[in-house]
Amino acid sequence: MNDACQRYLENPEANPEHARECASCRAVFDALGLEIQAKPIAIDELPLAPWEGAKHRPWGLVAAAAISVVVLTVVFFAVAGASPLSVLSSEMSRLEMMREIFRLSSAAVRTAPLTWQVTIGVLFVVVNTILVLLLRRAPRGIDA
Amino acid sequence: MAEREQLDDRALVARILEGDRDRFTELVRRYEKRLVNYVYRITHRYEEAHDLAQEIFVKVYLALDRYDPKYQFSTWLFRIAQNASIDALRKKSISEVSMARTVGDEEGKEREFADGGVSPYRAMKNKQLSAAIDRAVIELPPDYRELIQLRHFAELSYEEIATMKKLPLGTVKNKLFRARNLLKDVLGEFVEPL
Repeated sequence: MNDACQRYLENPEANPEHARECASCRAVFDALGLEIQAKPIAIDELPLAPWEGAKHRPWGLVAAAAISVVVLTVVFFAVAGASPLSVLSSEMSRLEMMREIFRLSSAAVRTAPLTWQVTIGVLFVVVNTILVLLLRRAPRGIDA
Repeated sequence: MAEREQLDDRALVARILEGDRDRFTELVRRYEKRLVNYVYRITHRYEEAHDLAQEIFVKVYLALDRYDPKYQFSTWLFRIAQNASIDALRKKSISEVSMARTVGDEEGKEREFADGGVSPYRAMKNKQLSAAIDRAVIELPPDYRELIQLRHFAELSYEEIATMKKLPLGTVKNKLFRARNLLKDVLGEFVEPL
């Protein structure tokens, strides 16, 4: 094998002219280049993939679900003959310790230095944003 | 009818994942010839290669959400094809060595290769050459054989093969050179004078 053959076999794309000069090298690539008579692949009916139909839940659906829960609660209380607000306040009145914690916490926030107030505010927004994003997270594969 | 925009593989996959399942046909059309050719060169069964190629495309569709667009679609597709072909060989207990003996003797072999409208003499020569290259490729060491199949039958680039096989680019080129050298030695009888 001469140098030209070696260069061609190493990198045929870079030395295409060699194939016209060397019959033995050409025979190798002619043979490797023979294609079978491939028939078209028919995939008329693709099965339903596990990832199909998995989409972000629309905001409308989320809002409708939340409103439905509120409406059902109000209806439930109405049927029971009690006002939801009165039930809530009566329950709260029994939870003195919790009220005290809330009172102390809110007082602490109000009297905290400005930096802390801002930090708490930002953390509140961040945590709630994360919760909302987790609720609406895309199913696996959509973002791939 | 408005012409569909030409998308690259990654964009096409993204569209399909968004729900445009008809676009999968475009992916099939892009790769079917190469895939059937590649699968055939591993299984050496013409009809089975088509059936298997169809199964591979369905498998690809079902797993499309697991495709990582960091990599070339072609390398992912041919990795699946390679695994599926090897599995099929194992299931059917087809020995590549025994296939080597039957290559060229297989009934109906004549219709398997594209003659491209060449003369009967050339068509016959192509069939002989085809059988000879099949035998020669089967005789190669497994790592050389695999690279030859990926480069020449699946038509992957050197870079794609290097990524797929997790080999340095230089190693891929070097092994392919050695493999071609071995093939050249056994294809001497098909050398036609210039």
